[in-house]
Amino acid sequence: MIRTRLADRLRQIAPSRQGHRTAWPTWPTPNRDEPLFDEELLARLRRLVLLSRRSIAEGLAGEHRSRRRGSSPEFADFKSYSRGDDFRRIDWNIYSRLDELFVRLSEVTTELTVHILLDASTSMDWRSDPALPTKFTYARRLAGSLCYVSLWHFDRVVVAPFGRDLGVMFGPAQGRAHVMPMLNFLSALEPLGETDLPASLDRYVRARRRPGILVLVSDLLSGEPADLKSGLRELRSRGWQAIVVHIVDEGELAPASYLPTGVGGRLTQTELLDVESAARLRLTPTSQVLQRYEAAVNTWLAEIESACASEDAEYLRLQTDWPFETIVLQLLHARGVLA
Amino acid sequence: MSGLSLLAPLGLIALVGVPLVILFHMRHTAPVVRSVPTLRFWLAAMQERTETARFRRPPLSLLLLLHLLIVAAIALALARPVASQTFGGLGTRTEPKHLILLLDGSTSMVATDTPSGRSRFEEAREKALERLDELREGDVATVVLLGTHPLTFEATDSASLSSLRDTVRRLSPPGGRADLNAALRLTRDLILPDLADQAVLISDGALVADPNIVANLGAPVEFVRVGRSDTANIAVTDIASRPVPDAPDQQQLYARIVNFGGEPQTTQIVIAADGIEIETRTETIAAEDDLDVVVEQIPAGASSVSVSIAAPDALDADNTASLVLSQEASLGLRILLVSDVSGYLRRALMVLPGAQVTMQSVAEHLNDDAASIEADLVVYEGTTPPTNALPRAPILFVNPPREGIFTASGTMISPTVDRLRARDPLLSGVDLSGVTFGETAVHRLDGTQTEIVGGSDVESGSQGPLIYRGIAPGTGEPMIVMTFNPNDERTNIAQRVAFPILIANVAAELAPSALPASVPLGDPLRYRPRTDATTVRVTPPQGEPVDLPVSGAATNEEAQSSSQGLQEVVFPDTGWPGDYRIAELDAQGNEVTAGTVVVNAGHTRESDLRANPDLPGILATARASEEARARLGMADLWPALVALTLIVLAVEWLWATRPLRGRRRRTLAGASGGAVQ
Repeated sequence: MIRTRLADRLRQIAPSRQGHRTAWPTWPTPNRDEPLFDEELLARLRRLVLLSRRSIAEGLAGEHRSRRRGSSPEFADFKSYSRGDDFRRIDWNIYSRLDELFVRLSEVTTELTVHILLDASTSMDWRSDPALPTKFTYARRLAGSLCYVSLWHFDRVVVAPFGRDLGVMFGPAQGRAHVMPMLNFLSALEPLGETDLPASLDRYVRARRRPGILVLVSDLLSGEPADLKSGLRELRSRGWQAIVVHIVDEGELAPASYLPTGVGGRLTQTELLDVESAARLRLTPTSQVLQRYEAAVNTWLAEIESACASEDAEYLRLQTDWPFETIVLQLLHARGVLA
Repeated sequence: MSGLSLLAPLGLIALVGVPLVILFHMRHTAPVVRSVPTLRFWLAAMQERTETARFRRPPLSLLLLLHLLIVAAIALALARPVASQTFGGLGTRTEPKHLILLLDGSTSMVATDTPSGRSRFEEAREKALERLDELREGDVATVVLLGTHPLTFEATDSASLSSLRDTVRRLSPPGGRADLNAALRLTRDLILPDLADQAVLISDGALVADPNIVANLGAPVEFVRVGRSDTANIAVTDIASRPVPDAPDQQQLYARIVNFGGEPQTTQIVIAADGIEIETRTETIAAEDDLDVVVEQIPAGASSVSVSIAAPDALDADNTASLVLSQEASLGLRILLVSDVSGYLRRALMVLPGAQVTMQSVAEHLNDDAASIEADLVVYEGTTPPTNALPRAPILFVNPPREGIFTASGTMISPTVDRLRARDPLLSGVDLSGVTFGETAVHRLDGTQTEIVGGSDVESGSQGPLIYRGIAPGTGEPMIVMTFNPNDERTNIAQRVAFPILIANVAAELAPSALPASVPLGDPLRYRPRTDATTVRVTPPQGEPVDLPVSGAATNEEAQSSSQGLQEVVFPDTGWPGDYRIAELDAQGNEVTAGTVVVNAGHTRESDLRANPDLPGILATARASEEARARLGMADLWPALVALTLIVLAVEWLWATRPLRGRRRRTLAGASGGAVQ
């Protein structure tokens, strides 16, 4: 019954078609009718658990085991009594047998706070092929999946879209009752224009007193890899576990696929339009230009990957042409994000 | 550029497209806009300056060059360039063509020295058909078949052209000696000034051309040779007979065999009389030399004789030559000489070809009945019969007496020629300069008589005719009168060559001619039949009999010059060697008499199968007139230019659609980089 309602709701929250926000042509136009989730995906997500490499305890009990030993009914170990220990935790049965005071330790189960920083810039609302989802859609689908897994396992979730600044956030929310609001939030989310990733990241982290898991879902086109590295260092120093999910479109890697062609498939002169800044660039995409483009992209990717690795942040690059239900979830599982 | 001209120079206006094309290439076209998530990588990839101006410098690209070439080709095509010899092969003709095919059908074309083993004429006929097949709508074709007399066939439209092809396909060589100069003169008359005339001579080259005629032909001549140019041949080129001086009933035979080759030839020579071999010899004939064959005595009574050589060569027809030794009496020239003197006149009459001279004394003649005389010509020397005894036959009076039919009005003691009728047939070949005459009677001529030669006597001051023409009184038969006495010691004309020629001319005018024993190959058979013959039927060795009406055979000039009205028939088609049967038919179609004429193939010109080395050079001098030359051979180049344009377009298309190097889609694995492990 719940499953049926969820599927209906998913159909209702499918975003309506939006008009172009700019006067210039921006082919390909995103398909807003595309649903973010289906029931099959959600059923699969329900079997997954978000993993944390570090124990990050929060106030409410969750389903994540903690290294902290506490007073929960679930026994973990004994320790010799020391002054200041709670008398209530002394195991008198052992004292009667061993004539020594031991304090009964129990394992504290903690809930996990998952912070999903979702890039909602205009550059994310782009796709090279009408048959593919936009990076924004793909990112919302990923964010929704992570949120769904988290909420299903009573983790606390925050979804923070950002552009040049932080947008209206979802959460913190905990519990399965927030699944639908979360999905509605993501479905209704619109691109926020230009973006400033380093500033938004810094602003978000500084506003949080307790660290958690921060999943950055972005195309990382804002700022330089060095800026990203600086932000990740800040996260690390504050005890955050950072996961960088890099959403890329196939056309960004091999642009010849979407550039206009003339007779015989030969590339013709093109005017490129930056969807964020509206800057234009006229060029004839010769083979030399394409080679240099691809070299620049590869260098950039390597720098990002290096920045993540150096700051102990998990880095995942996802292409929007990859099937979400198979490759992406397997990839998240393989990289220890989901279990 | 010599040889190239423009029929529509205004078409070059289209060259304004050249700067337009350049401008088109200089212009920056409005590019297709593509949105991208960022320009950062494109800016890194763009090392060239971004082109934003409306125009740029002309790019030296292959596309620009191809476009310029296309525009130039189209503009040039619109100007309708025409080219002559230099570029003629690239285009199509501009003007309708008049093809004059000179097809050699002479005897030498019968030779079978072609690589295919066919005769030269069959090869030539095939080449002629190929030329005819090349003609297109609007062209005119004329085929001139060269034989002894050129035959022309013409086609002016498609239907007649098809008919002409069929005609040529059925042509057989007429044989004979090809008169190329006559054919070229005919070609000059055939030229159509409004068309591009071109003459093509298809021949073995064994012809002679007059450079002057070729130079003024008014059309170029293309020479297409068939057969080998160095074919050797042996031929019997001459054959003749004459009575043995000591035995008039027997004949001597003379023949000439020529070796037309660069190597000596040994051959067997066979002489036959009436088809029976009478002598065989083996002789060696040196290269480029001839051999005279003389047979002293041919068996009496033989009617024909032939000489054959056994050496096989490319032309068999000239390996045999024949001769008719005696015709039927009715086809000879029967002459009755009434004279008491056996002098110069008798000898002159006896040497006439085919003459059968019968001599009567004056006394005998007077005893005969004039009506019973059967002679083609009656000659009275020193006498005249009574008017009522004149025979019904042409008469030659020589030195007629002062009394009788003719009455002398005076005497010229020693006349000299001071008047003569120029271009009279009687005087053809007769040189009277220095001729003296003895005492000659002066005849007064009436209106029906024509003085041919007149003389005057300085001593007596008298003058009168020496030779005149008239009508015999009472019979209406033609007569010629020679008033002088050839036997007079003071008359020297009898000792001169002029006298037998004069007698021969008289006989030719007054009497029918004897059928010749043989006719050289290709020479027309000229023959004056009897007065009672209305038709002469000639049956060639190959082919159907040809009836020649006697009345229509003579030319007007000949008819006017002949007072008697004897008509000469001419049979021109003696191109095939062999026996030609000649029959005279009366008005009812009955055969009056018949005989045979032999035409022998051997001829010094036609038997020499080797090509004339000078002929191509001479024919190459043939030129069209200045006006015709402007059009002749001009080929329209616009189809070639259009073809060039299409080729360039195809090249441009191939170039534009060539696969772009280095464009490849990034594979999944390659794009994932280090993210997918």
